[in-house]
Amino acid sequence: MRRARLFQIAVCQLGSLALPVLLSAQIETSVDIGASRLRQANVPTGNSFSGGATLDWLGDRGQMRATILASRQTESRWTGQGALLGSLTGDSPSSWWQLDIAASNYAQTSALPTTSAEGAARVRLGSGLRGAAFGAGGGASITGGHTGGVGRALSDGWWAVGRERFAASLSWTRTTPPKAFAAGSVSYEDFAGSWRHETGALSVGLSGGFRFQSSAGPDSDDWELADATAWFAPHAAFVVSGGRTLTDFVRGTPRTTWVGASIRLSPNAHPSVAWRGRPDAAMPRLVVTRIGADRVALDITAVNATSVEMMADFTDWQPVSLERAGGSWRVERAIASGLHRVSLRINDGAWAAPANLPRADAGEASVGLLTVP
Amino acid sequence: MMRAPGWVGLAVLSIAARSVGAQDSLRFVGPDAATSREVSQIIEAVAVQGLPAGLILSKARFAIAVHTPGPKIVETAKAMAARLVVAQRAIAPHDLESDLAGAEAALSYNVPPDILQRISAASPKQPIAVPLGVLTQLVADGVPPKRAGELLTKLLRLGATPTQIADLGNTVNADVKLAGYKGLDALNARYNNLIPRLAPLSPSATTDAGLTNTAGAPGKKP
Repeated sequence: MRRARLFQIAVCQLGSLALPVLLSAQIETSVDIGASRLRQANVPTGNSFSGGATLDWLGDRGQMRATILASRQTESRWTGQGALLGSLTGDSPSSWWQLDIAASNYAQTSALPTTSAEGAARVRLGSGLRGAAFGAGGGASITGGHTGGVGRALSDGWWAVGRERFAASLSWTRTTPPKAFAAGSVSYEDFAGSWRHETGALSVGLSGGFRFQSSAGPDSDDWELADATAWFAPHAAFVVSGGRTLTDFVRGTPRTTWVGASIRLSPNAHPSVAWRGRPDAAMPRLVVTRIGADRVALDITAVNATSVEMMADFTDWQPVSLERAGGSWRVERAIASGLHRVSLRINDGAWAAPANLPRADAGEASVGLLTVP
Repeated sequence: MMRAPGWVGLAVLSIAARSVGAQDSLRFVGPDAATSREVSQIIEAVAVQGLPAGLILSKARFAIAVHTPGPKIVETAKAMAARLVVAQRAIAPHDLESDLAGAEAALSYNVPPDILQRISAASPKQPIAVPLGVLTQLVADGVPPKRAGELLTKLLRLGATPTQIADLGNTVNADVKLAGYKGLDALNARYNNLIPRLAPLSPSATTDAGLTNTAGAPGKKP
């Protein structure tokens, strides 16, 4: 396939990015530039340079991702792919229904491109934090003059706790791929699981799965992926990844094994690993934790403190002495959820707002604002 | 003349005792008689309207603790009483004391009432003291009220818990106070980190498997 046509496809994909811009919502974009070592079916193992872009749009009732990628292995071998994934749910975080769409295009030099589009409908249980979904979908895939239908049965489960997010899925697929991939219809079951850890500045993920009873290859096969993204600056991250994917009969992407690294640039600010506090060690800091339905713990970090007192609206502005608890000073009491004003005194000194809290009114420079969960 | 039954006398005494107790709980003793009288009148007027007069009392007692002059205490009490009336209208039908306190605090930082209305509408059945408190914290850190209100409203619609919202606010505060970042930058960054954990989508290996990005890694699952 000529390089010019490959770029035409890329431009068309870019055009699809304009639509989300017109809609008011949270938008995040990024550009990746990197290198990897690839091994694909019928292609010698080699190094490649690549560039891509991603746009994520998150609205109240749905989200969409548009992504494009171009990769150059040799002067005469290029690949390019793009995808548009979207979902729409009902008018609440616990909506019982969800509609999905997915469109993709994969192309490489000296081969016919594959374009696919499919949709799915699911019944959702639970919430965005933990739940499950069941549904079915279908679509079509076109490669050259060959058109194949796609049918899927889908089930997913997910669970988020703290900074960890776990997910699992089980699906059945039936499709008629081009002869280059298989002779006749293909059906298979996929079981997959994933884990992601997010700290803001660092994102680490592992995922893997098994494919069963493929009629176009081994009875079962597995795939594994790992990736890590570290934002070393608010607008730049270092990304490493590797893994092994299976042939995607619908999108036309070949089985691939790779390891790679890239630099990700984004106009959206992110917490970075260099985003560390530079506090004056002598300035006290306050952290609040709800430890029960009607109980809250307040922990104060105060270097070189021999005594720590607190007064607040919830103490009727009467000083309360805190007790040392390990490396901090602590008090536990019943405090209503919401905004409170609090002041600290260290070693019988002046009353002052905790260093990590915003100051209250200008006339209350010694008081900080604290929200109790 | 028939004598009232004994139990009537006991009931009257009980009611009187409760009234006295209630008055004592809202009793304000200021730096001088004039301040005490004026602030007490303001507190009583607020209580009659069914608004949480205890908030004004707490504010006045703090003012005493930091040796605020009498006229300033009266001025503060008047302003707070006026804001409570606006707060009540803005967040109706929310009427918990903690919700009204949060709304009043936001108004004291010049947050427009319509932003409070949107936050109230985004969580019609749950208390909103925490998002209102975080709203005030963010505005105090220099985040434009409109932007802070937009993000908090979106978080509420996505089902963020009070703990998540409070953590967001307190973390942004730390970024601003300890790391020196601008409030809006810190908020956007922390919000971007929180949103993926609230996204309504479930991951599906069948839609992402085989989709590769720059380094050959699959697209990040939402």
